[in-house]
Amino acid sequence: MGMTVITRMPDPEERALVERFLAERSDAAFAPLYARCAPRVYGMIVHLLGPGSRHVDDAFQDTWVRAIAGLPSFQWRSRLATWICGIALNACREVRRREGREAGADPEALDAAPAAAPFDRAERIDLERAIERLAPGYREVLLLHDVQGFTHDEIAALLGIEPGTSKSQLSRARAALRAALAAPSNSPTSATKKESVT
Amino acid sequence: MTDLTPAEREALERMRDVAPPAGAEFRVRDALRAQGLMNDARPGGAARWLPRIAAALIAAAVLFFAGFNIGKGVHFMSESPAPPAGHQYMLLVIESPAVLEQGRTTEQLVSEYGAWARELGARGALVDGWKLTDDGRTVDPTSGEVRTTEFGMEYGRVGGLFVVRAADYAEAVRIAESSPHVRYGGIMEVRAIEG
Repeated sequence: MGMTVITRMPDPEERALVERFLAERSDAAFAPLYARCAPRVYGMIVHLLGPGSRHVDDAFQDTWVRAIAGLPSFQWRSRLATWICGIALNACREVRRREGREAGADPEALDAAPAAAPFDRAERIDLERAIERLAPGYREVLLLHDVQGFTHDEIAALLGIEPGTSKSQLSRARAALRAALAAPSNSPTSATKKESVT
Repeated sequence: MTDLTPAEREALERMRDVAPPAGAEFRVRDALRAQGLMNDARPGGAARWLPRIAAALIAAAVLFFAGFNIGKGVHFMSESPAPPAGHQYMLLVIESPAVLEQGRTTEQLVSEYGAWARELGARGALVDGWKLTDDGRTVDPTSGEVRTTEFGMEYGRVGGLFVVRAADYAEAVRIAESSPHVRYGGIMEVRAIEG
């Protein structure tokens, strides 16, 4: 697998930024931390809850409050943004529980979907919609691994599952994503778009 | 394992970063301050201070009075008609983030504010206007202290004021209603000036 590894060793600069913030807790010290992590964290939340969710901003804010509250005990076993994304995952799960939004696509139906062509030419908007329609379990593993770059061990620790389960879930999630993108009902224009970019 | 093609991998990785909307950082900082996790940006300021609101309100006030100044310039530099008979009314501009959350660009807002002020100036209804400074203190005799002005979510502070001339209160209200500030969700208080 050639997935870009982005979750490993913290860099000294990041550690220095965190130490400065903990010493000062000032706007000036917070700004570089936010700039460094916010796009990844926000991306994680948007894709977990869906771009149209009215809870995205609340979950984003809640994630930062939890992260900063827990920052003194951060163990540096991962990059800061990776750690905060884990917090974001839990915040999003709580939102979904509150809203009873666990009713994503039917995993059984997705499992039964026929093999589909690669989605390498899918428009981003189609990809986002297809991911949003994945069953929550699939969506989480796919986002954590293929979008955010978590390892299966990290995903297993975050989700409370075995690494092997993470791998099998990911495989099914990818197949389901391809099937969803290939399905005629996914987007009436997707086929046209594929033609047009060929 | 169902492996990704390089192009699929690239498509997914492109989704990793999504820029948070403008104002998100202020909301985060506000929440952190409310929880005591960050220091107040202003010496002596209250932890409950709402920096997002403040930033939005300050920006709104700047926009609004930028437009006003355009109109005032026209009013004082051109051959304005004689002021209509009537009373003077004060329009208190209550700052509101709603003005900035209606999807228009800064340039569009300034242009619309300017057009409104020019129209008022052209018909002699605009007497004057002022933008107030962005900081202030509230003298509160009930608590016996001078405290930092705080901002509310529904009702902000007064960001500035206009004095207009109108035939009666109803017309003054119509002038306020015609302003971009009110049309985009901002609040104006209309008060007759006695004497």
